[in-house]
Amino acid sequence: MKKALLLILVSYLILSCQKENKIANVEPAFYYWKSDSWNMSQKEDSVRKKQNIKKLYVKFFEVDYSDAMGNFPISKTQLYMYNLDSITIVPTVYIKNSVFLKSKRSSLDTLADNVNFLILKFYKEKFRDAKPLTEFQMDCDWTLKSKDNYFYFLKKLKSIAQKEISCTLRLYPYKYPEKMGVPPVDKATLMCYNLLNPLQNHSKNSILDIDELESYLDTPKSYPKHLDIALPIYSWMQVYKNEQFSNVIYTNNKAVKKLLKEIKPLWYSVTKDTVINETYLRIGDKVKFEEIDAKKIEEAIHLLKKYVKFDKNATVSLYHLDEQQLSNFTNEEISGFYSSFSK
Amino acid sequence: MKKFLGFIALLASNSFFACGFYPYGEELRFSFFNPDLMGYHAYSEFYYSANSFMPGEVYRDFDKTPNELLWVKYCKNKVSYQSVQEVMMGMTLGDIQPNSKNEMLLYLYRNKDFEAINYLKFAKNCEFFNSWMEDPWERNEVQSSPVRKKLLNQAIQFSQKTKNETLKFRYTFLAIRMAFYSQDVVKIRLLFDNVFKVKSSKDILFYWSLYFRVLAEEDKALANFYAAQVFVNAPEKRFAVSQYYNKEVPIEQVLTLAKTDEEKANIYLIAGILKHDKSLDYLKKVYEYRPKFDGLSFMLMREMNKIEDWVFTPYYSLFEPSVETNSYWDEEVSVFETVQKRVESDRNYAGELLQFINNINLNSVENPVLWKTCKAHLLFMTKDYNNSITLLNELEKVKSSELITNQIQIIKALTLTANQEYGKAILLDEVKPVILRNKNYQKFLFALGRELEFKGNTSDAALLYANLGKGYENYYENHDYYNSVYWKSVTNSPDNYSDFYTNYFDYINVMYTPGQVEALINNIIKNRDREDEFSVFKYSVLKTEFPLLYDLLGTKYIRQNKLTKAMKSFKKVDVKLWNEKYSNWERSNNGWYYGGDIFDQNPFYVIKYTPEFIPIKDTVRINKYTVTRQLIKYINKAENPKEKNKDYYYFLVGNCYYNMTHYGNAWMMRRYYWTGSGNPTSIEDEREYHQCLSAKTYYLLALKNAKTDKFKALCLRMIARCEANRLKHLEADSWEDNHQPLANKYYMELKEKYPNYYDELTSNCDAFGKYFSARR
Repeated sequence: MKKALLLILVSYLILSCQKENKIANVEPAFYYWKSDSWNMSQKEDSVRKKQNIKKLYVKFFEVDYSDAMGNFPISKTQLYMYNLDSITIVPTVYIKNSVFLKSKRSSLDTLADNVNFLILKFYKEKFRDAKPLTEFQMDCDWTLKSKDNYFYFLKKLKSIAQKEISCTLRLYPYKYPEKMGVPPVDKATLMCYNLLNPLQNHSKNSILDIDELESYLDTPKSYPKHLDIALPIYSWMQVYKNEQFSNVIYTNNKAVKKLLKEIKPLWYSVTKDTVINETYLRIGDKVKFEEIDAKKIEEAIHLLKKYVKFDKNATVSLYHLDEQQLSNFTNEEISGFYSSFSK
Repeated sequence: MKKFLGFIALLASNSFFACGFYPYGEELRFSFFNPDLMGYHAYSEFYYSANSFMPGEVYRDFDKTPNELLWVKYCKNKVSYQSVQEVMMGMTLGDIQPNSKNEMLLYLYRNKDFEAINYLKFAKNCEFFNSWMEDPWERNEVQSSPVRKKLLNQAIQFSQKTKNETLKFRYTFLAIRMAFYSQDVVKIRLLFDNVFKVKSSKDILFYWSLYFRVLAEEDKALANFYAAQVFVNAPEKRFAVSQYYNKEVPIEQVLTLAKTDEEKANIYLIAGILKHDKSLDYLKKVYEYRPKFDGLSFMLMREMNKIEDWVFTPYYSLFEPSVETNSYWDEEVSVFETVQKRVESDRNYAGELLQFINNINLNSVENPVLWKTCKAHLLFMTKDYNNSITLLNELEKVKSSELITNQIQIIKALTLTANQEYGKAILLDEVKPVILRNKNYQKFLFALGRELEFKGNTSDAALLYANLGKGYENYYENHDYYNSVYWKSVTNSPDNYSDFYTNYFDYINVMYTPGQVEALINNIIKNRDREDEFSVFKYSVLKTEFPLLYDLLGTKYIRQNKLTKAMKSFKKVDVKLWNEKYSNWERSNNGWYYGGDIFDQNPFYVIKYTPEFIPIKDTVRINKYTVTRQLIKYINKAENPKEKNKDYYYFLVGNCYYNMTHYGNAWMMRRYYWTGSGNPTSIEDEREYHQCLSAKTYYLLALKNAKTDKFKALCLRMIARCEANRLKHLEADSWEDNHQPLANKYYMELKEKYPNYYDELTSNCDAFGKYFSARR
């Protein structure tokens, strides 16, 4: 009897002991996703310096597909950076899933070659006095049907570029690697945002919903690749006119909130005719305001530490480096996001 | 050399005279009739402006575009506009699937309209080729052209095969557009003439195709004719097609090609809008052929803005109209008079336009309220104030948006203010709330101030001018880069360093008499404690500026050499101003930036670039007040018949007057800034300031009363110095090339009478002390 009790007690202790996984050395980073800016704004630069960010994932271009043209690049970056003082740039390329659904193997070879060529060309032209490149990151939301082509492309790219290849990893393939495959990369960045289709679930925040996140992270297996983390620090407003979705606005949250009246969680009604960016909001229009605040991020970090087994060194990046989105956070909050992983 | 002050172009106010800045264009243009409020956004690329035409967004967020409306019609109005928009703008080829949730696609699939679906897919495929992109991966390879040609031929085949009328035209349009990017003008002409020319209904596809047809047409008159039709009927192509309208072709030739009244009106419209000068004749023609046309109302508005620029810009600011070229080199001729004459003739033109409006039936036009508002504004421009006010009162009662009501009130405020007699003009009670509502609208405030000023109410004018420039925080709001005022005065000449003003102080510094400044000060004293909202606004700036205003008043009296009055004014200046503005050298923390404003030397005893040669007898703290007081004291002493040392006092007075010129250390007695290059102004004592006339007079008196030769020589030396400055200043005025310095008779006299002292006195200033102490 005593032995059984002791056994129960010990096993209870062991089971209830939930060890939090830490990242011993966090490498802080940011994603820079803007295509139309020639340079970073003063504010963006100062945040980067204050947070001592030495790594930037910069979107170089996107790839799309058309029957006639095949694979072609769009949204090429206009960014130029001169004072790089030992920052590491990771060129990131966003590839639409249709590219891998439609392409044949031969065109994937060409694609890998083209992607490598264009990355190197831009890097040489736009990032003078920079450190030699060591890593490329591919961003693609692959599906079951495009999996094989995408993985083939990644391998081909690695052999041509001779660099570290990383890719973004959504939570669905993270939870179901046996179904979605494990991409043949050196490391993967787990994207903890855009968990839901923005237009479908009206009661949840499609950028980051904590319950959704937990349901994805709660898996017994650990992912067979080195994981870095990407967290969202952006907010947006979905505008609905006459109950129909019209468009999305990114803007200064505080300024716009003054015009809105809350109807139910996440939903607001417009109280004054105003033009914001190019959108003319009128009285009666509805807005789904999906906001991310520091509290939510901290909750997400808490979940990540609870469920994910990290390596000793890992990169934590925030999406994305944008003056307006950053204005919703203080410097302490931002540095808190990085440091929370090591606490 | 003691201190080299260098080039100090500082002004004690917040204006910026950086080298090279000169206002032009939109910064100068006066316009109280804001076209953006009137609802003609589709023509917004052609609003009258000093800038060149630029492409813009002609459809706002909530406007419905013609092509998408065509598709809604094609789907028999069973689908929502937004769903069509989503397909057109938001989808790529891959999104056109049977399982799409989009309403329009669902409709097409349900009705098994696979031809339309295939068309949409084909069109999406072609999107990439509607541009000049040849080398997407930047590998310098030519990739697009062959594929585009293939697609072009496919489009033609599809258009010939299909029995669906709408799709036939759509495929042909795609082909025409791709032919354009393939630069195949023959094909464009062929396709258009065979397919579209025979189309019965002219929808947006017809006009888009016609646009490309314009580009492919060699006959200039025919191209113009087509361009006019596209201009009116395809808003998104307006800017583009306006580039292809050839103004050299006589309009009569183009008109012969028009078959209907509407076509004729369209030709007159495009020709009229592209004109920078008077377009009334074309306007009348458009009215004749197409009175209920929104383009006609837009043309009227444009004409209004033109006349405003021609009349108001010169009338209020004395700058030429913003769209005229800056004829810099012709400024020797009095441009001012020419321009003011032109203003009168432009007012007459406004009268002609007014007459035209009076002669038509306002129910026959598309927007009678707009026409009435224009009429009221024209009545103001032709100085028919009473009728203007009557009409504006009527218009105020019409229910309009807040912005349009504000617009009407602005015009009314101007009219009411202008409709007052000389000497009796005030800020009327009715005008006050309008000012408060528009207190950041600088040109409006300025115009009101000007009207008052022209009618003799200089105090209220100055108070309004003082409130300008506070709108800089709104500098970028609503793209209002041009919310600023620059103006000239009649006495400005082009060689003034700064021949325009941007703030009240510079202006009243030059233009107001001492009496006007006094009246202003008294006005402020009387009214500064009023608590009503308008008075608070009106006096907010100047009620804290008494020290500066008294300083200015005293300075003006100094310029008129009315020393006692000057002293009385200077006495009223708060000591704080003297300390902060004029004595900072004591705190030695402002370096040389304030070097020009300060009294760091005693003007009676010390002359610039000259070692001190007179023992200093006063220990007065130096500021404008004490200098003036001292000056009066010494003049009185010198003029006292019992005074034994007249020469001494006259000499000190001479020194002071000398220092109060451009060459001295007390120039701030007469001016508010100093530049090395001399800075001519139109201030009343300009001659004295540069020619040292008073100094010379007093040195001559000192000479007359001097007892010893050495002292006489010294006086003569100082007189010669003044004379040299005078001659230099005269010389600078002449445009002649021969730089024969006029002989300085005082140097000659010095050489003749005191040859032994001449060299010592004229080679440098070190010996002055010796000569001064030899006075007795």
